[in-house]
Amino acid sequence: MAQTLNVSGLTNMQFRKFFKPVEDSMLGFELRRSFLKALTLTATYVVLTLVIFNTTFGLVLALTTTALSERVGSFFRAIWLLPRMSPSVVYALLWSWTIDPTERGLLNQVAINIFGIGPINMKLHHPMMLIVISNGFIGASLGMIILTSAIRSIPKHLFYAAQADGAGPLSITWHIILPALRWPLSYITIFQTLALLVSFEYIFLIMGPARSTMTMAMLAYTKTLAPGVGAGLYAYGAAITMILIVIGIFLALLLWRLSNMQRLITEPRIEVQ
Amino acid sequence: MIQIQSRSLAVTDWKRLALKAKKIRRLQIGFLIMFLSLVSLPIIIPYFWMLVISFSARTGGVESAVLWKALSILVPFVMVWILIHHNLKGSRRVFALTLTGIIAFTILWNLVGADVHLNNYRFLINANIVEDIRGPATAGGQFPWVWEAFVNSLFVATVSSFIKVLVSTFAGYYLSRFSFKGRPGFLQGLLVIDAFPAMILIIPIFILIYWLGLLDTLYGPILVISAFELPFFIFVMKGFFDGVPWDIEMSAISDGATRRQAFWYVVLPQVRAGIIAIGIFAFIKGWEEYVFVTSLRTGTSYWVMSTYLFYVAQDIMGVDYGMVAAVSVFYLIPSLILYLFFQKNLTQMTFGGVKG
Amino acid sequence: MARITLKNLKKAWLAESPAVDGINLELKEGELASILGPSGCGKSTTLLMLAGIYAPTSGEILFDGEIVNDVEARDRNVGIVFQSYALYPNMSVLNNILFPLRFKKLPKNVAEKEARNIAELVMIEDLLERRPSQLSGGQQQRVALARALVKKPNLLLLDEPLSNLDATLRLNMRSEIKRIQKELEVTTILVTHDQIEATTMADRIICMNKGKIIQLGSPEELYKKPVSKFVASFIGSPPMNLFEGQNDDGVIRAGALNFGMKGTTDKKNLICGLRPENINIAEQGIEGTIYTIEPLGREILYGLKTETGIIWFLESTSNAEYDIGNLVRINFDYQNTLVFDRDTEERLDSVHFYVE
Repeated sequence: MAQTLNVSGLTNMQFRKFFKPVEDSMLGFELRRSFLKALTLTATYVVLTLVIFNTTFGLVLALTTTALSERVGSFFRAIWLLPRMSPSVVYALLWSWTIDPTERGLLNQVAINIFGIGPINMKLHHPMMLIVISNGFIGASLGMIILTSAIRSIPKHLFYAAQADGAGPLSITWHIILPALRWPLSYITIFQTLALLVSFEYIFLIMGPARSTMTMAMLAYTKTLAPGVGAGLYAYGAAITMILIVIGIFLALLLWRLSNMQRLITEPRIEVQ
Repeated sequence: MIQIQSRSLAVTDWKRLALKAKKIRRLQIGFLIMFLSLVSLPIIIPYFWMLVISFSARTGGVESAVLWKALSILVPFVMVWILIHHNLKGSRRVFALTLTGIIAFTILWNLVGADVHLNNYRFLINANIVEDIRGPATAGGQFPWVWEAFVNSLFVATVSSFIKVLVSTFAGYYLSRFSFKGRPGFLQGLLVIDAFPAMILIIPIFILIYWLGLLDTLYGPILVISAFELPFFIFVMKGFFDGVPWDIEMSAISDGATRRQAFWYVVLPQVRAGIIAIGIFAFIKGWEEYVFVTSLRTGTSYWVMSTYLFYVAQDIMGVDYGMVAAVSVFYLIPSLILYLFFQKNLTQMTFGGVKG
Repeated sequence: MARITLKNLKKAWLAESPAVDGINLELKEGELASILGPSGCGKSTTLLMLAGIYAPTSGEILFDGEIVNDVEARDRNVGIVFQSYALYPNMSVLNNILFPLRFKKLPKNVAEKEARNIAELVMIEDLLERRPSQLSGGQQQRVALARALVKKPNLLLLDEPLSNLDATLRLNMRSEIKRIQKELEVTTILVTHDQIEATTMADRIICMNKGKIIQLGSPEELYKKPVSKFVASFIGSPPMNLFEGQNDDGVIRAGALNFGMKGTTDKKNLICGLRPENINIAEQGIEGTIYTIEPLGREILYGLKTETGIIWFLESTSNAEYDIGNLVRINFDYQNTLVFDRDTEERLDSVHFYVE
């Protein structure tokens, strides 16, 4: 056992690393720049992925695939589930090959030969876009699945009645489908916020310990356990985690309020043991 | 009496309406399929590319020419296939489809057939691939044969999915069908724990596993992933049990069965689809596990497929794209097969009133 | 208010026997016709084809003599009321009624006035601000009706509209729907499996079975002159007594009983039909013992065990009452009897039977 564990450093010393004392600010503290950066990066990453992919694009996929015949629709849904079902290392590898900054990368082959723009280095110049899209492709499928079955569970007769009443596809989407998706959408939003907040697997596998995408979860992971770069700063990592846990508990409680609790805890009806 | 004055209906031009409807319907379906195909291309092409590289790359380079040649045949082929499927019926369809299939295959073979080879898959039979690539007497001894990682991954996936299925089936049934003190609280707690991602606790877990003496063994990750994914699986199973009508169980009991017999003979067969679904899903999850298997080992004490591929891609033969792609394909195939075969089951899972 | 014509209309799903198998029908303007048949006879499929939800496999649907097969549902201007009412749960009652007018591009105040008029007609003017979930079944029914009527439909379709209501409400709504339909003179098709609903409400009944129209006519025609055993047994409550008989040169032998035959037929195997309400207690006639007693309020339905099986008959409660085991004789007027061919199940015209 080459590694030794030192957990005694978990004191408020670790939290002081996030804040620095400033005389004239309100609480007497302000965030250190590095920590502020991690906080901003996390917020940007979570909000962008959530808004663009997990909810909006998931909704678009659910709406378009259910508007087509069952066979065609489930074909496209199967394609979009592929990233979720692939091992994470394979998926990350695909991405790093696709965005390879040389001319061999798939993206650059397309960019150079079709659009005529020079080799793009996503990792260097658009790191946020890269992690948002790569995580979004996976996140969109969860929204897609949940919303697809929510759409399916709308009574068929409502669609028939709306059609007979003169509603076209857009009116049906707006007046019949979307009102029925309000609850599943808020569920997805919170559930996915939690997941995105602490997710670092794909970021780490695609970006490595790059500073440009060092979100809070990444920071905690790379400072502690990450293979190759993990520095074993367990106390520092744990301090970051504590902050994530506080946000997490708050969101989880919100989710619990939103859940269909009444149905979930319906009492059993047989009393024989 | 209320008077409903009849609006003088202008004579409806039904013919115009029918024509309009036909046109719009075609446009709509065409637009939707175009849109979905376009947004799906960024997913399909990288996977296809990986496959192409694994079968065609030589001397470590990337064969992009083969990719574009193959795509230039396959894309028109798929379009023709869809057209035939929509416009012909019966034996003529079968004939036309077979014919286009043969033609496309012939062209494809002539175009890229010479480039296809299996050399990149030699890692499957060569136990010491590192020496093979870097020459003898390198640090190859540390790096295992791929089958060792394969067996380990299989072990992790099988044992963890077995634990998950077993516990979540019994727990799901009990939570669905029995009332006990504190049941609502238990369910609420389970929900909060499930919403709470496990990765957040990775540091305390590491320390815990270290103290338990399970660090650097496969049992560490197995225990951790089983424990942390259990709330989700319990909820899924509870959803399946909730879907079994009470009447079935009640009539079994009034027919003289005990609760346990009713469970075994009547209720359990009803949730078979659910057990298959969570079993497959748990297996795929265990098979792909990366974070915990890397975090809970300190050196190279064990290898599983994810770490194997990670090091193949990062360290050992990072420039040999052909072989890295081949390892990826080899790693991907079990997940892919399970997913394709059980897609119907997997999309039936419900969670806390939400299907997912 | 349109004239509706169906020409050889068919609907078949893949690899199943056709749900609707060649229907020809002509509906006059302002008529209330009822499609009556057991579940799975194709009546709802016909309805959904008329609404434009399902596309016919072959055949034609004409509105005022123009083919509308390819016209979209939203352009057909058809009002439809489902068994489940299908009210939009997220809209108030008023918005539900206003929904169809949204697509007619009416000025807002005109639309609202029309909605209020129709609400008054179906007597829900006090409920306009409520949500569908706050209404009783009967009220939801009225809202659904208002929503279907507010757009002044070419055709009103009612799909089992009363099945979800309890008995008294059903009686109430039956006459209510009939009153509104007559007042607005809208061509209406009522789909039902309940023969009382069909006979009390409709001007004409279309009796369907296995995707085909068996008989089409006024309620009285179907009651008095059913074309086949199927119609005879479907119309009338309590259902008709049917027993097998053998034609023996002008004598019908049914079990150990012999009946005389009016009219002639060369068919050997017959089925005799006799409605319970046409049977009386008599001095002379078939002898039997009372086997079952079902009080229906004003009348009592007796089951009489005779030598040809159980025969059901109705007796007014004001007459003498009988107990199980009592020996009685029954008789009937030959004009009220029906005789069917046992092989084709068709009614034999002007053939009757009587007690010898």
